[in-house]
Amino acid sequence: MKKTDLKEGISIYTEETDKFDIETFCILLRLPLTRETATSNALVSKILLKGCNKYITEREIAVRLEEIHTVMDCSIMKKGEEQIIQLYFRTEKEFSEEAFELAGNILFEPIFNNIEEAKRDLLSDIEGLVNNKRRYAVERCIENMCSNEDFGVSGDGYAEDIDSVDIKEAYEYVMDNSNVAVMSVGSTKSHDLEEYVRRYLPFAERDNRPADNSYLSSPVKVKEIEEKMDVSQGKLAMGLRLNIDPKSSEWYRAMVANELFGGSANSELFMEAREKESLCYYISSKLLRFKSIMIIEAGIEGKNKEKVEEIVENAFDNISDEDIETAKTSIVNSFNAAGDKAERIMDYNLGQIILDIPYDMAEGAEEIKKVRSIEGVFNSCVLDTVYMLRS
Amino acid sequence: MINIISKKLENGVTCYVLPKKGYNEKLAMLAFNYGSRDVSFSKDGRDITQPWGIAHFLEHKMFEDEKINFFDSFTKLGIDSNAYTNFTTTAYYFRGCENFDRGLSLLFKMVGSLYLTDENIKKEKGIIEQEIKMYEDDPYWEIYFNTLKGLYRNNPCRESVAGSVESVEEITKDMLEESYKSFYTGENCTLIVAGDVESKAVFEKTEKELKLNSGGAKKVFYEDEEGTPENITAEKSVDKPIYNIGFRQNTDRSVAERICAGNVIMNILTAKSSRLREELVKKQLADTTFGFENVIGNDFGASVIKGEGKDYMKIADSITDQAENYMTYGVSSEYVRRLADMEKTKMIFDAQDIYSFASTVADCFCKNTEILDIYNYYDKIDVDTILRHMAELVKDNMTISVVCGKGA
Repeated sequence: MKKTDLKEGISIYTEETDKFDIETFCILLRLPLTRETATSNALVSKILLKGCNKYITEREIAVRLEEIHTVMDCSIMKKGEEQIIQLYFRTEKEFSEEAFELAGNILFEPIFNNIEEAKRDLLSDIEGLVNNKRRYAVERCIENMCSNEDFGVSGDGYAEDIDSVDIKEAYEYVMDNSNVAVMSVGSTKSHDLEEYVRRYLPFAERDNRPADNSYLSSPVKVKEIEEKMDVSQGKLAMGLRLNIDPKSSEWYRAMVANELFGGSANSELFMEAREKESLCYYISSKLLRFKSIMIIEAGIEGKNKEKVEEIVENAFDNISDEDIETAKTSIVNSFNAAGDKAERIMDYNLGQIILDIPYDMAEGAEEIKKVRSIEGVFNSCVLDTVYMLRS
Repeated sequence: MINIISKKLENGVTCYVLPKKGYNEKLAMLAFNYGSRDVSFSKDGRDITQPWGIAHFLEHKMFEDEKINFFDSFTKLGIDSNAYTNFTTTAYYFRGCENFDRGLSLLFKMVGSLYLTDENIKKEKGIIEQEIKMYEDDPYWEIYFNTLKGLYRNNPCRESVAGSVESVEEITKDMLEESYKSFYTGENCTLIVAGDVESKAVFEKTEKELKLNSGGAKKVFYEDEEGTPENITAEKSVDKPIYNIGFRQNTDRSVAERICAGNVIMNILTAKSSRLREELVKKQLADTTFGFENVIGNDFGASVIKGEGKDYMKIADSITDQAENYMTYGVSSEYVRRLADMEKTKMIFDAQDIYSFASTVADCFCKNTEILDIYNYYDKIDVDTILRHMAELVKDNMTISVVCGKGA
């Protein structure tokens, strides 16, 4: 993506391409993730689409969106130790300007007429997490693992904090303190986007580069957590500290190693736990780059927990350079494929912005190709937390 | 805006190419008009009934061969592969940026033969049992099937796609071979390729290399059902009740019409631009979870309004009242047009993603329709069409399915 700095703290990013028949945009308001502000920031994401000066209700905004063939969504993302409010919209080419005009109304002229409704929406999100047991288990694992770090804070906020939020203060805090990135993928030219932003998104200058993530840690004792709930199948989530600098080239070795370890359908974990032992339908590992963490998740019978833990332990010894080329191809492939999806182009670039490293996707793919061996890459990896949800 | 090239090949296969100029990745999906609903069929004069979940079981076993695991072979080519089964479709697909041609040959080889042993069947039962248990912990999955169970007494759409632990246990090698021979035929198959490819080359290769069974089986189709649907309540660990309010659709109209009209009507009642939704939210009866889903097959159909909260009875009343209002006072043609146009826009949005584009085309094939029939039907849709469908939203055609917390 091509970057242009408009003002201090406000940048625009464009990916000009004629691949797509539509235009995709997002406005990102980046904030530090903290226990004190998580709930109020999340609430701001809920109030924005409830009404603005020109379209005073959620329904009127929705009608306007239909008129201009646009889909718009406002959500909260947690990326490492940042909490990001994202206003995301897709539209047909001829409506780009109208869509930006509406986004400007929504962001800069909210009328806060439905505060109770926004609060209920947020509460419903927070409480609804338990309905997805798989995600719930992973979230609970991270929460316990990182209880002394900002990363342990929930991106959706906390039920008990909702009532006391002053929405206007919260809104002003977000608008004044966030680092702003506006992105477009499609036929929109950089100078067009610049013009839209100048015209409809009058952000003031700000000096607020978010802080770097912390990622080094050596737990002395593994945290074992078990939670009881009425489930047919137990959900296991394991959190490990990689202790690898996410900005270093070592990280690309870790990506390749993870692919072999539990990142694909012919990885060590999948082959052993599912294909050989029939212990589960799903088992996988993924890397959380900003925090240099690995999460392993599996749906298993409670009685098989030790067996699966043993498979995990052995898997570290069983991955080798033998299948390294396949793993590399697969990752390079996913870099290339990401270029076919506007959301993934945006997400990748946001990741690079957060890490403050300049690689575009092609350069990322090149780094993967350079990997020659995975030997020893997980040597400093330590198990931190084992979480099990069972009946 | 929806660009698609199709050809019916000599081997019976219907082939679609979705050209995506400039895309790095290519995707091929090979789908059979065979899904979880097809447990009963007749073949060579015999009536056969198989256990629930057999189509899905067969899907799992296709990835294995005497010597190779196809997942592995695809991965070695730098290609991701996967498969899915639903009521009407079994689809195998792969996607990758390189080795597309070799991938396609591998896909053809994979579906061209079946390798079963007692041992590999036994192993698969263990895996599928865990898959079923995973679904059992998903309240949305449970409620989805309970809604169809409530609406239909005979139609096989009431059974879960994966079957039950017990039905899967009954599946044998002979049964799997029978279903493979009966349904993995050329006429029953579509190949969909999306990406920056040359359609002519795809057609030629498929004609030459894809070898499938001939003959096949006759499917059983079910009559529309009468009689009042029943309400089903289940218990799970959920934070608050989850509800589905489902209405049975008559199948005497084209699938394209049922899809388009169903989407427009459900938007009128549940979208953020809907007055009814606004009112329900204001009264604190509905929240952000309020939405809809249309489930449509050749011989079944359900318009489902869904959400979370305890007030589903009041919501059901409001919906049927509102439908009656529209029946009495009509609905403006501008409103219908705006929603129909928005649905077309959403189809274009979805078509940017090669997987969702291809799976929609596969889905259409198994419902004897075409994606362009649906896209173009939105231009034809008018107030009369809408009201004709709205007439189905009455209480004696309705089920309320609920999953609530234990002891609630």
